[in-house]
Amino acid sequence: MTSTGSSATLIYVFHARIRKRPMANVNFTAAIDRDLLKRAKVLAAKAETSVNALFNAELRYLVETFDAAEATGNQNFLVLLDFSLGRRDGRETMDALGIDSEEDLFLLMAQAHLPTPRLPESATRGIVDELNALAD
Amino acid sequence: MPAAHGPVVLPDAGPLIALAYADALDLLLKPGWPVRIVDMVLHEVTRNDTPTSAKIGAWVAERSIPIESTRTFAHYCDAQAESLSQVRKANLGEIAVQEAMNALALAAPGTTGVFLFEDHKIARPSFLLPDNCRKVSTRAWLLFLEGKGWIDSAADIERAAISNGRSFSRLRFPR
Repeated sequence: MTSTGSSATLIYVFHARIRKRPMANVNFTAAIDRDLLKRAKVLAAKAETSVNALFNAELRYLVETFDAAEATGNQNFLVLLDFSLGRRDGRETMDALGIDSEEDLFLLMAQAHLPTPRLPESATRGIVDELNALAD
Repeated sequence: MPAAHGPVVLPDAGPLIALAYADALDLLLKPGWPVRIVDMVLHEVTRNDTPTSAKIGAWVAERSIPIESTRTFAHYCDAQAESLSQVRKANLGEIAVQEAMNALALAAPGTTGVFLFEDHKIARPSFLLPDNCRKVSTRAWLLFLEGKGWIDSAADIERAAISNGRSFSRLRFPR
């Protein structure tokens, strides 16, 4: 894995290994949150594996879950993915899923292994600064 | 512990649910600021029998958290009592929170209201935010506590919530 860039988001080139052709690696470029990468490296070290391996495992989980849902005609995973990517807001997501409880939405996201949408780090830091100002 | 006088904290349903899953509701009290719960929000998180409904209800009772009354909830209760077949439930919590914001701005303009939401609701521009109110995400709240040294790790709290959510097996997955 190689990196470029100096902002909060790094551009990484992943050397992904495709299982069906074990020797075939493909390179692609992706942007990743710096803090997330830092945590992934810690996780990889603790698990005695590589960030590449973690990335492959999680991406495989995502793709296979999506494929399985699509094969059964279940659109719920796609709805949750849209929510995770910030393309559908919480209200629309709950309507599409036929739920009226925010707890059910929280649980569905947790069970689907999808992160809830996040504000940009800069926005979150701005809010933290406001809280610090209130506390002073 | 900071002074008892300060901003008023009003959590929405999402932060209450997440913190309840992390067994960390008391983190709302860490800065020492008064916490209030909007009645409609409390109803939303306790009306169904869920893994967190009893926990949140008990926490509110044990910590003597004041309940912020709203006309939204009163109207909802009236409609329920009249057994109206089409009692609206969707978004009433948000409407009640907006009402609480406006009430705070009118009744206590010198008091800052810190309204906690999940990130995706912060991003939504639908709230008319009075000058003395702040929209704060659960993540920002936890990072604030971490920065003050009141918790070891914001990420650990978030992770605990998700981990406990995943281990819950009575999920009512939509059809």
